[in-house]
Amino acid sequence: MMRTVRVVFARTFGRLAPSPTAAVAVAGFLALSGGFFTRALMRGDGGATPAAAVWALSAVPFLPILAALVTMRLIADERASGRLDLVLTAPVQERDFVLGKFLAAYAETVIALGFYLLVPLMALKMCAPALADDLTFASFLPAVFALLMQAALWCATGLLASACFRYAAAAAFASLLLMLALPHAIFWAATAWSPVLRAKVASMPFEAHVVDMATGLVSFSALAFYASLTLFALFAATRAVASKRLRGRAGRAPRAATAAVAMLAFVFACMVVAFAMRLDFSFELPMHSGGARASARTCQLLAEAHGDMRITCFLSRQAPEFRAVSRLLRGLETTARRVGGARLAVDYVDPRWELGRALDLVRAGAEEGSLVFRRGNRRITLPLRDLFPASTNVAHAVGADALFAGESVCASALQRLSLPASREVLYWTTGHGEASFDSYDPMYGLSDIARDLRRDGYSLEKLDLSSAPSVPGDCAVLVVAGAREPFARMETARLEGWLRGGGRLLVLAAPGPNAGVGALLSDMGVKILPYTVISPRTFSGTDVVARDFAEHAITRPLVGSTVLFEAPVPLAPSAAAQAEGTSFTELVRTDEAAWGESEPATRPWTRDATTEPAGPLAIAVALERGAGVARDVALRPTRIVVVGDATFVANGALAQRANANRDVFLNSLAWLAGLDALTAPRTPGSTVATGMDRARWMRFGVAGAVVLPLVVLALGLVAAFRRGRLS
Amino acid sequence: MLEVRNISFSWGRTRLLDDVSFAVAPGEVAVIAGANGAGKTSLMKVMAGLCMPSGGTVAADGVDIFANPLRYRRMMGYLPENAPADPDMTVRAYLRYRANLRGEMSKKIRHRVAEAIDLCGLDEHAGEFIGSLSFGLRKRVALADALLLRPRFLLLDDLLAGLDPVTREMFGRILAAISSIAAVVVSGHEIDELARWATKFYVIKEGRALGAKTASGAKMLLGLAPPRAEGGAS
Repeated sequence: MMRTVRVVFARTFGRLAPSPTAAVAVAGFLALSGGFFTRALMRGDGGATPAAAVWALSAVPFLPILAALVTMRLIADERASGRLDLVLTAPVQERDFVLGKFLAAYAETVIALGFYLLVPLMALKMCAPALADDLTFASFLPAVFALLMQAALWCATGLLASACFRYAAAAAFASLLLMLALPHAIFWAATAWSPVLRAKVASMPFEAHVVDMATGLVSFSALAFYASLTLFALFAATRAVASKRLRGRAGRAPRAATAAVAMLAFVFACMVVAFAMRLDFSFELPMHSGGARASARTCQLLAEAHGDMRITCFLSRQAPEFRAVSRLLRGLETTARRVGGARLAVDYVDPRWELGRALDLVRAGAEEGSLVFRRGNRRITLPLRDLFPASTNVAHAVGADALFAGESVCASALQRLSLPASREVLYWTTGHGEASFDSYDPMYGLSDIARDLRRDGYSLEKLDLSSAPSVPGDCAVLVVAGAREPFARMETARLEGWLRGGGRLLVLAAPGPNAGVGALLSDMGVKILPYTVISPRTFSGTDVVARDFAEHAITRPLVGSTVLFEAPVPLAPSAAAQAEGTSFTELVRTDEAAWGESEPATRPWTRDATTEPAGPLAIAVALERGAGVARDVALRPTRIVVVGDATFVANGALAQRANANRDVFLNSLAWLAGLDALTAPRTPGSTVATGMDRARWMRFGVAGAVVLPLVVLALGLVAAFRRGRLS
Repeated sequence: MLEVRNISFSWGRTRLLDDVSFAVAPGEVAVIAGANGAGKTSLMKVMAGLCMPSGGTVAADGVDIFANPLRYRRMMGYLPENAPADPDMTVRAYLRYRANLRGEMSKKIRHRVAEAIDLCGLDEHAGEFIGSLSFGLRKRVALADALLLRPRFLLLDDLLAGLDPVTREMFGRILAAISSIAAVVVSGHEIDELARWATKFYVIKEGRALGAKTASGAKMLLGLAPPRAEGGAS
């Protein structure tokens, strides 16, 4: 057996590898997958999906196409040319012949995946040094394994199609029908027709399997799915080849019997998959025992907390959210063990099976589909819908574009459990064109950040200074979020009085030196310059990417992160900042290539060196007055943080890309409110935070989606030429 | 000894072969003749195991084609009608591949390939790609493939079709040489030429295999020439 397999494999691979068709197919696969990987990584930058999962997901749609192109000729050509008759008259088992062909196609696909692996391990590593530690072969191994399983299935399916048709094009078409159109049609029809199925199956299993595997979760049902269907396809291909002996009228009955056997084999394969799904057995790979990675903030929280905490996941294991949530909880559990501090226990209550415990939870006020955090007698119930941003539907929660907020939300719940039960009040001024925290506008509303603040234990109140006699005494921080109209003299006076008495102010500055509280800020020590910052380090052209952070309580933990500003205004210290006892810190600065543009509406932007300030420019500053003054240490210091971007934490900005905007804002509030300890970054340990600017993204995209495919194409064509296949 | 016993074969509703029986012993060359569409190629394919007969069986040296197909095929050399071969391979590489595929022992392969190349006069073309050869040369390659492992019986479908006289003569010599050790069944229309090496003839007519001792007898059965005194149909 092995000898025949080896001979057929050697012959087929020797013919396939140097063929122009294979070279074009592999190059096309690399170009498309590389392009999609670049795009997905850009869109999911900073998300919770690991780079390996994004990498594997980007190849999932194109792997069937590659397999179809590689396999389409393997048997169809033999059949059309009559060579199949020579094989069938040789003392060879059809099974060995098909297996040899399959291994050759599989080897070609594995080579293509090997080249594709160079994209993250070489190109991305060079362009994103921040990710270098994560981009190891070992970390990609589970994702590679997932793709190898899919490749095996697609190659076997392609071979089956090739065995059934005389023409390669027909075989390729049938392959694509079997691999892409049919599964998607079944998926969409089933989920559209049945709400039960829709609830159970969130995304195409091919994608879910890859994400699970890439994050270290290996389920028996996935292994059974690929193994049984691959074996079925190979068996059916073998029978299809063998049925070529059944020409003639007498062969009708055996052909029908062959078809019936193939159908039974398919039913058997489906039953194996169903049985494996029913068993619901899964295990975690040792290298990924941490599940989802926890952020520095969560690590800090868990390290500083003590006692026993318990998280109960009240959710059906078949719910589409379950995979993402269980991965997150496993990550939290492992992190707690690693960092010491609180002892965190996680348990799962499936309402389908554990009726008694489910009833207890319902009586305690928890609804199905929620997480219950407990510490002693304190309990926080968190609906799972809070873990998924409103803009992200559940179906995509496992995908590369998901902005799964579970880690941050759970950390907030843990924080509330570990802190005394008191709530700081944040007042937000109104009446000057400010953005509102209860606005759900997808671009300019502040609802997302408001939700985060409430989870962190803050209360939010509105304040109209024109009617209020003064700033309320319980005001921890006053927020002026993008006021465009100048404050009235009386309002300014009230505000100034409150500030000089140790008030805390956070300003998201709109353009214009006198907009909002610009005049007051100038008196306090911060000057808003009449320019718009332009920088070559940009994603969209108008935004500015900043990575230069000051050594300050707010920004200290954010080194290596990226902050995005949309057409920001530069800030500078005014004369008042020179006063004794005042410290002025430039929290975030642009790079040296940036400058302040006086006419941002006129393109192209060019710097006038005589009038316009050159970078680095401060675009977020912190000012403290009265701290550490020896003559009156009891005096509460005044603290002001100004960010030169009115939309810095608007819904659109937070959803746009991976950035540490949320961290800068929340850390600023924590510092202003005196909660300096809780300032570690909330984004999970730089999972996919590439820190790349536009130029680097371009370089990476060109390397991965253009240069590598062209090199592979050239190598393939040279090999074909040398073998006389192009002559 | 190749024995065809009561073979019947239908294609759709057409009954091509009806209770066909004959036997060919080593040293014999049997020619299968017949009009176009009579069922010659179908019979060859049934004997090669590529078509499913509705009745009867084929056996070689007592090995039944259905009971022990691998052993049966191991004894067979088969040259299909269109002489397919892999155009991307050189002649020598192709023959090596075929010998490997058919399970020949590794240490014998070189010798077997050299022997087949020599026998079929392919020495000058052994390093050439098959795709660049003429039809006649490709047919020689296919014949070399059929002869490669010294088969116990040879099935040569439409052997002389499309060949020039020189190649036909060469194929005849090869037939004569190989028939001493193998039973040979050749199909074709070239009765006169094949008669030089044939020991018996079978004419497929209306599904039946009619035996003839001579070429003229076979021609008579085909309705081509009047019967002569020295030969006749049986």
